[in-house]
Amino acid sequence: MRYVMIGNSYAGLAAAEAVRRRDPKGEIMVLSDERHEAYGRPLISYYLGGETPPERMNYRPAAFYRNHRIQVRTDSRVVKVLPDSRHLQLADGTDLAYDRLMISTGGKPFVPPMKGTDARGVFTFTTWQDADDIKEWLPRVRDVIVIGGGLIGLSAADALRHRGGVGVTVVEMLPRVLGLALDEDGSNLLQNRMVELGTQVVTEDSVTEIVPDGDGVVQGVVLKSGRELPCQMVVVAIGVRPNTGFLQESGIQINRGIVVDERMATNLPGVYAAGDVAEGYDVINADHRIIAILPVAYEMGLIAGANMAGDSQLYAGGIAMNSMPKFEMSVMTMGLTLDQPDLEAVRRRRGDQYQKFLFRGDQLVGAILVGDTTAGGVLTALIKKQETLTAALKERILYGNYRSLVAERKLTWAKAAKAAS
Amino acid sequence: MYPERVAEYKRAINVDAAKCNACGECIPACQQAIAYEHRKADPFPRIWIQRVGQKLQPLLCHNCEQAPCVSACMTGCRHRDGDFVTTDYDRCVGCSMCVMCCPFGVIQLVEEEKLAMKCDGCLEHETAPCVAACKPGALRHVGYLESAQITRWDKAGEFAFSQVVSAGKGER
Repeated sequence: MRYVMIGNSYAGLAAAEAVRRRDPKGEIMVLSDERHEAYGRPLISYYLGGETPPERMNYRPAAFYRNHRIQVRTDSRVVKVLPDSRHLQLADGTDLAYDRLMISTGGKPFVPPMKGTDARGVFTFTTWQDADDIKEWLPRVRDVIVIGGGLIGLSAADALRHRGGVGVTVVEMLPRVLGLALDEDGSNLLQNRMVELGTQVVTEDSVTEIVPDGDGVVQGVVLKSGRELPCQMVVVAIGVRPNTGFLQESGIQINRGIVVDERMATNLPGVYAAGDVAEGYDVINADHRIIAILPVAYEMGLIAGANMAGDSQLYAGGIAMNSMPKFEMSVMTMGLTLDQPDLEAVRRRRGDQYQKFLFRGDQLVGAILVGDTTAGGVLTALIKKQETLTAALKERILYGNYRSLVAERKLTWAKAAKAAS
Repeated sequence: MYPERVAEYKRAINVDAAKCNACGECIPACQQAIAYEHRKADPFPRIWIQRVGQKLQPLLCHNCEQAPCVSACMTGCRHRDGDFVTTDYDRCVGCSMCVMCCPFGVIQLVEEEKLAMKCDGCLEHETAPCVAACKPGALRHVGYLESAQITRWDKAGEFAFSQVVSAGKGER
C-alpha cells in the first residue's frame, strides 16, 4: 500500500503519523512544494522578529521521519491528479502512483488584482521562504505597508516591530483590526496597544495601487481615500484561498474548499483531504466550512490518516478559534464572537482586560478573552461540547470561576459519552 | 513503549479530589522542583487547588491520551513521552494555542518568559515532589497500568474529542 500526502505541514504529518500507527509496512510519501522540511508555520513571524532561530523552526526532530519511515520529497509541486489511474504528475515531470492520496495543500495567499503587485519589494507572508525574502529586502527599507489587518497582517507587523528599524503601517478595509474575530471593544484595546507600540493603523481604507519607481522597486501606495503613503516594502496579507488549482481537471468536488465527508474522504475513491484546504464540519454553525486553524487541521489529518489505513474514524467537527499573543497583548477568541440578535452577550471590562461571553439560550457559543487568557481551553471545551449550562454554571462562567469546571465534570461527561455510544 | 525513566519508576500522578484538604503543601514543592526552568519570572506553580463551593479540586495536567495541547502545538515542543505529555521549553514561544485547547485549564502562560507551562510529571525525580508533599493522599503515584485504567475515564477524548481518541497519540 502506498500512501501519498500532498503537503508537509500539520494535516499531512498528522495523517502520516496516524497511518504509521496502523500500517507498519505501507510506504508513506510526503510531498512538499517548499524547500524546507516541516516547520512550525506560524513560527515564521517569530523567526522574522528574531525570536526563534532557524534551528528551532523544525516541527519534528530530524529522527521523526526515519522513525516513522516517512519519505519526504521537498521542492515537489504536484501539477495534476489523475484519479482514474491513481497517478500524480509533478512539476518536474515525474509520474507517481498512489493507493491512498491525502490532499493537505493548505491555503495560498490571495493577491488582489491591482496595479503594481509585481513590483520588487512586494511580499506575501505565509512561508519560511517569504520570511527569508522579507529579511533580505529589509536593509533598504524605512517604511512598510502591511495590507490587511487580519491574523497574518498583524503577525507580520508585530514581527517587523519586534525586529525594529522600520516604520510599519497596517491598512485594513474593515472599521477595525481583526475585524472578523474581534468585536469593537476588543479590537479597540488591541489597536490602541499597537499605536502605543509605534505601529500605525489605517482603517476603513484600502490600497488601490502599488507605485513602483523607474527600476520597478516599490516606492509607495495609493489608498482608496486618495492618500499616498511612501514605502519601500509592501506585505500583502489580505487572506488565503484554498490551494486547489492543480485539482481542476481531477473531477474532485470543490465548493469553497474541497468537500469532504465525516471520514475526511472526498468524492474520488481513495482520495482524502484535510486542513485549510478542506471543508470540515463546524459544530457551532452546523455546516461544513473551512476553519483554517492548526488544531482543526491536525485533528482532521489524524482522522483522514486513520481512515486511509483502513480504520473507521469520524470527525466530530471543530470550532473557529484563535490565540494571538501579539503586540504584548494576549487575545483569544473561540466560536462566535460578534453580536447577533439571537445571542445573549455579556461583557466585562476592566482596564486592559476584556472578556465577552456569548450564549445561545443555555449554551455557551463563543467567547473573547483579552489580557488574561488563563484557562481559555475550558471555555473552548464547553463551546465545542455544546453543553447545556445550568444557571449556577452560567454564573460561574460570568464571574470567571470556570477554571476547574471540566475537571469536576469529566466523570459525568465520560459516563454520558459511554452511555451514548 | 515507555521511556526508561517511566519504565523504571512505573508511575503516573493520580488525583483524588475528595481527599484534598487544601493544606497547599504541594504548591511550594512544585515551585521548587521546576524553578530551574524559569529564567526571568518567579516559578509559577503547575498545580493549583481550586475551591468550588465546599469542594476542593486540585488541578494539574491529566496527560490526555489524545491530548488537545499536542494537536494544537505549532512548534511541536509538546509531545507524548510514554505516559506523560511533556514540553521542550527551549522551543516553546508562548503562542497559547495549547492554553486555548486544554479543557482542564492546567496550562499557564507565563508572560514574562513567553512560555506556556504545565506539569510535565517531574520525570527526573523518583517521587514527584508534589506527591511527596501531599499528606492527605489526594495526590498519589500509581503504576502506569493502573494509571491507564484510571485515566481512561479522565481523557479529554471522552468528551471533547470522542471520535478522535484512538486516531493518534502525537508520539514522535
